[in-house]
Amino acid sequence: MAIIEVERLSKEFRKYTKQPGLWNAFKGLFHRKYQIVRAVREISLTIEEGELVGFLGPNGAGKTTTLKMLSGLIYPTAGAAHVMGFIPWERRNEFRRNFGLVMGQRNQLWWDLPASESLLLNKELYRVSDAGYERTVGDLVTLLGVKEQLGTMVRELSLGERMKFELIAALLHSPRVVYLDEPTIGLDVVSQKNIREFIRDYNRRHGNTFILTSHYMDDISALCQRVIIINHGRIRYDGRLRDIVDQFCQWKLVTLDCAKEVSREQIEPYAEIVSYNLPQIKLRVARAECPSLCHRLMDTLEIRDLTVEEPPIEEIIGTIFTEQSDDAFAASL
Amino acid sequence: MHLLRPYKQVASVAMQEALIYRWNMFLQGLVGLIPLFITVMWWRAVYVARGNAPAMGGYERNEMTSYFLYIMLIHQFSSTFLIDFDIAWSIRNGHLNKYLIKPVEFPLYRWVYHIANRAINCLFVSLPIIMGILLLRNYIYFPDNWRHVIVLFAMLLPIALISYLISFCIGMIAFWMLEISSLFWIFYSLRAILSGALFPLSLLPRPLETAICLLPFRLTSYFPASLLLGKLNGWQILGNILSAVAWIMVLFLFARFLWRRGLRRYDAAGI
Repeated sequence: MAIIEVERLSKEFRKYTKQPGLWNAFKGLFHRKYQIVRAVREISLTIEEGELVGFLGPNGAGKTTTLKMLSGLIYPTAGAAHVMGFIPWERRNEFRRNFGLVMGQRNQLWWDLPASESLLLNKELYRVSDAGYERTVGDLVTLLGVKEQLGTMVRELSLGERMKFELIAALLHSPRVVYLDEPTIGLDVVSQKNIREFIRDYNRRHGNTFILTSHYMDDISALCQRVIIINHGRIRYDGRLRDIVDQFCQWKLVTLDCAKEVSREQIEPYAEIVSYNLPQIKLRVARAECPSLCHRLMDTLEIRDLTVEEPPIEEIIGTIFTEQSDDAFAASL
Repeated sequence: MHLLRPYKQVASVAMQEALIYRWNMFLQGLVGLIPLFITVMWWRAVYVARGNAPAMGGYERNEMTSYFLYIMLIHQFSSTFLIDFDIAWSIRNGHLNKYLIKPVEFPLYRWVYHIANRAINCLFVSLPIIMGILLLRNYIYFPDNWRHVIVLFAMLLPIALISYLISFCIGMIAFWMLEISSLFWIFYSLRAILSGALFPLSLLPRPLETAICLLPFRLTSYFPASLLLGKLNGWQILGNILSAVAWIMVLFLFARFLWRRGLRRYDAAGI
């Protein structure tokens, strides 16, 4: 059985909508208009034990709402989900003892106490044995390089160090399923890289399941073989990261390095010009026409070099992100 | 014991945190004496103005002074001031998330945390309070029945629990309403009156006093203070104890009901 099974999960929020202005604020006192926001719409997915899956989507796409439901923080409007065989929002202790959540924008440690106190509290709450605690914390602080900071007040830690302790606190009880919500947000490049490598190694060594959301494409491409892209509350893509290109991108980027001057007019009949900076010209070419066109360009123009590239993955995901929702699309008709 | 072990660590964390704010607590104890002095002086003036009237609501002059002193002493341990704000704040900004994901029951966690914090508080305010008692010693009626003192100590935790459950329920309004701080202040005033913290309830007309005594609030102030002052006979003390037990059960069930319903509406803001 898969470790996470989600079937037609939906979440609707009722949002109070107010027209701008004082008069409308007064009117709102007597007659409120509510709008139903469908944050998540009939999402279905399956994740196997040991997978490291990236959740992608623009702000407000529904990925955090999905994670909240899978953590048991909120109840769905409809649909079903099983995580390790448990229904998350029943919040059974056996479920909570086997799962961890890191919220990059939230502090879960006790602010005024040394990080070690928060870890000790977690140890007791999760009933980790003394030996297990010593081993796990010893390992993790060494791996993350924060052994010296165990006794430092949390509020005096740097953002990067705090994030590392957040990770340790969430992994202390060796959870089978871990959600990482923006674990590298606000960190410098080196810390990002450290955390990324740590997560990858941890996943390899322990074989636990991670769901990761991040706005940094580097995180996703370094860690996740599989990505799930959510937009407007629906799953837009679920599959391997590198297959996104095939599925969503119908064109390639051709760069010409011209030996002689080539005018725009010479090229425009064949392909769309992305940039024109002699001697370099970049073209956008439909996938299917690419081989024949390259051939023709080589024949007709004097070209020193020609390279064909896939467009950057950020850009493709960006185009998926900016797709209009079905509702907005219907409204525009 | 196995079940309670995590909560030992919760208490330890709460105490450590409280110790960081020791000076704040000490000052609070000191500042808390000011309203006590004002109340005491005010009541003495009332007695003088009435030609040193023998008793009001069954309270002699020194008993009235002591009434407010005892309530202040008891509140050092049982007060749940700002707990409702804290609960409401946790609900509104999603602070609850970090507890909901852990194998811990937040209402119980918060209770243990609160009581541990109060215990440390008592430690640090004791000095200014002893000072206060020494200053007021000529106006104080000291309890003359040690059994009453024992009953009081036995009832401190139940009294604190009643206070906590009421505050927790009030705080949970935040599940349903967004901005409610003004409502909380209204509740504070009401609770001060209904509990007898503002004046002994026996000053009220009989029917009103009886009505107010049907509510749980009096158990947190009026009952313990009048107990120490020897105003209650054995049956009345027993009645109050049973009433406290019954109210704890009722409030507990009500709080659990609100908690379960509220979590269905909780939107886990902020992650």
